[in-house]
Amino acid sequence: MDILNDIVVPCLIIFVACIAFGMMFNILRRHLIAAAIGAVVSEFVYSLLTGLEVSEVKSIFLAAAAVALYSEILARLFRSPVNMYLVVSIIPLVPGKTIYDTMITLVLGDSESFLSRLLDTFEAAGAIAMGIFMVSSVVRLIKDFREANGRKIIEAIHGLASKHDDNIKKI
Amino acid sequence: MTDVQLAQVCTTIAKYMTLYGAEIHRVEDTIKRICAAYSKHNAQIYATPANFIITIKGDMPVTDTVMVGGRQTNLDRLGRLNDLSRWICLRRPEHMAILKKLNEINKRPVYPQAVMYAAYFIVGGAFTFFYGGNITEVIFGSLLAVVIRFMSERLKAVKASAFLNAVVCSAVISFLAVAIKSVDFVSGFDKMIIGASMTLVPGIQITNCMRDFISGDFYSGIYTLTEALLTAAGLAVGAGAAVAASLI
Repeated sequence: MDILNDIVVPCLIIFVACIAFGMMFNILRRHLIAAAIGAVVSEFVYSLLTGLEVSEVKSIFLAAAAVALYSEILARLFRSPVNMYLVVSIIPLVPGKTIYDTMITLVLGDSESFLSRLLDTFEAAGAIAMGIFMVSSVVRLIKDFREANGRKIIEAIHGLASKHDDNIKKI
Repeated sequence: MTDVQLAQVCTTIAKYMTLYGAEIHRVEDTIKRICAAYSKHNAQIYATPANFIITIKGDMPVTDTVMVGGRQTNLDRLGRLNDLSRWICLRRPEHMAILKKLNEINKRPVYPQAVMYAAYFIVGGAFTFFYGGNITEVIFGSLLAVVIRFMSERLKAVKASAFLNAVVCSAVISFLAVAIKSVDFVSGFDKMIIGASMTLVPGIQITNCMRDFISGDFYSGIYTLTEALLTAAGLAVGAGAAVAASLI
């Protein structure tokens, strides 16, 4: 594996590209830098795993899960919507080349490679979706449990208070 | 604050949140919290990417509806709206104070036109390089991305749909790329087309549709997924037309 050409250079390009990409969505200052770093995280995980000869779909899945986790953490840290970081961070994983190849094979009338390319596209898209799905579902579950517990405590306090009132009335 | 004023505040906040690119669960959750802060726990809320309805059931039920047309993704303002809703829940301010803050948020600065064109230029060039283009291809890829920005500004002015925008923009840049190739400036047009098309990737729709599905808003999820798929298909159709023409 050529570390410089396979990991460092793509990560640098992605950093520059995603700073500009974040500007297209009007993200400002520290959020912009954080979003671009998220894109670098996804590109780094993806290129590292493909370099270690992990399959394409698995690499995309793990990279998507990594950026989803990164975005959720940063959103809690900076108290801003998760979208702010996630939108830019998944851009390096979007299978632009595969979609283009799918279209080219369709235009050329090569139905066999068209079908296999189409499958590649759906696999990549599904891997991104599932990676984010997994992490975000777990995060949401934790959040919901914590909120439910908080409500239980409040209700318990209310319950105690009303019991106290009843006792006073009885007396 | 009266019920009518609360409904007005809620619809305005919901409208701008949806417009600036929030997922539907966030909109519903925010409005629910605001209503709860003013002790209207039985407010009925129905939000989709296209409209927003709220009914506050007091002595006299109050219903307010707002249509959300299109998208003006602006994540900075979305973040500010998020802060505003947190502030409302904490302080429970008066009606006019909230509207004043909302007005301030909607006047927050956006990047100037020149910077925006520069951003498109950089995205186009960087992704052309990322997909393996040489220096000439990178320069032309950047210029094609600038053409995309120019075209989509004109199309936005006449309120073209996302699909039409994708088809027209990708067709124009693909024909330009094929033309550049045919006068032998570059060896291939595919890297330029892919690089420049990255500026049209429906990023906000992709993330929003997944987050909507996670939170169980399947209606909004399908709406946004369709938008994302149609935009991607539009990109392919536009580029395909140009490539097919080049083969003749």
